[in-house]
Amino acid sequence: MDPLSDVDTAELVARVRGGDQSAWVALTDRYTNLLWSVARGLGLTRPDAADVVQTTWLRLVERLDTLREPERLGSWLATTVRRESLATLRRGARVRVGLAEEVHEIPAGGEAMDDMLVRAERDAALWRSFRAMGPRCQSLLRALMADPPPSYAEVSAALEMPIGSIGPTRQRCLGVLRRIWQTAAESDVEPPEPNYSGEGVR
Amino acid sequence: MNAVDLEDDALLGRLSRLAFEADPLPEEVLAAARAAFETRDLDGRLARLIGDSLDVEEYGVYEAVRSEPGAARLLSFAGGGVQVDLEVAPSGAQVALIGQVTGAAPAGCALERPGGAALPLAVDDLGRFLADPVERGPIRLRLRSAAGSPVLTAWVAV
Repeated sequence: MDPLSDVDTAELVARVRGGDQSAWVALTDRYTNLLWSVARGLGLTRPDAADVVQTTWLRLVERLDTLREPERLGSWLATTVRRESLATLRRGARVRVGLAEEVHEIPAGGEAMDDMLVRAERDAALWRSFRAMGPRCQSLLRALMADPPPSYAEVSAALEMPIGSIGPTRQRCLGVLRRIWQTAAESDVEPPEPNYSGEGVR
Repeated sequence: MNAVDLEDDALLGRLSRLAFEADPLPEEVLAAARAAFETRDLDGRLARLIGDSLDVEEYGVYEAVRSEPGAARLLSFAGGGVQVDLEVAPSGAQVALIGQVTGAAPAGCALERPGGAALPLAVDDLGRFLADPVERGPIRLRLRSAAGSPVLTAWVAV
């Protein structure tokens, strides 16, 4: 266990300001997965998401000494990655060699154990169902999948959504997801292609 | 906590495990995050981003030229006694940077990358420069103010 994983964020920021490299590593371990999840949830390709996450950390380095409210660093990072992501989406996607857009298939298990295969198929159908949801639900649920789990304040900053509506929206989106997943299982057909017109982006 | 909440937590937990397999955080993205600390520069003054034609909600100044996809992006930075206006135009799969600096000494301007690479920029007597082609990705400009102190623009992904 990393000895710094329990140190609170404001304390880590104070140590980083003093030049403590290990505190910086602890901050990046804590938040990089969230930043990636936010960028991907907003619809960025993997190469574009890589750039906006890197740019977000570079912005933090240049603001380290002037950052107000270091205890709210997670929300600051979430806001920054959101704005960078939206600017990139307006610019238009691109493809870069080396970190190509990949379709990651859920592994089908390998072992010839029926229950494992069934579970892998159910998992693959669940992921396809998630990808078939509207952008608002996808971006919220993708952010909530981050590891470690974000606070609602951080999710609120990442999605420009009032804190009070995160819980109800999460419940509604998971309900929608269950219905798509269930329908796909019953009809044994592929869920529809990813849908980006059903709900507004914002 | 009621049964629906417990079911929701379980479903979200399953999704988190799936995200780990289907859309993992690339190792190089975490490595870049860690390496970002090496760009810290305690001597340079920051020229903040004060205008971005792709972010008119935050920076209204370019509202009038909000334009179609594929058009040039306009960025402005100010701080440390220096102002930089930067146009980022597509150049094949890369970009061209057309810049105008005000308040900076023409010598010693450079385009920096997060890994430490620096490309010298030839700035003319009127403060103009052109860099073409430039690889996409995060960049910043290193300048020297008329008073001689180092100034760095905010990082931007071009």
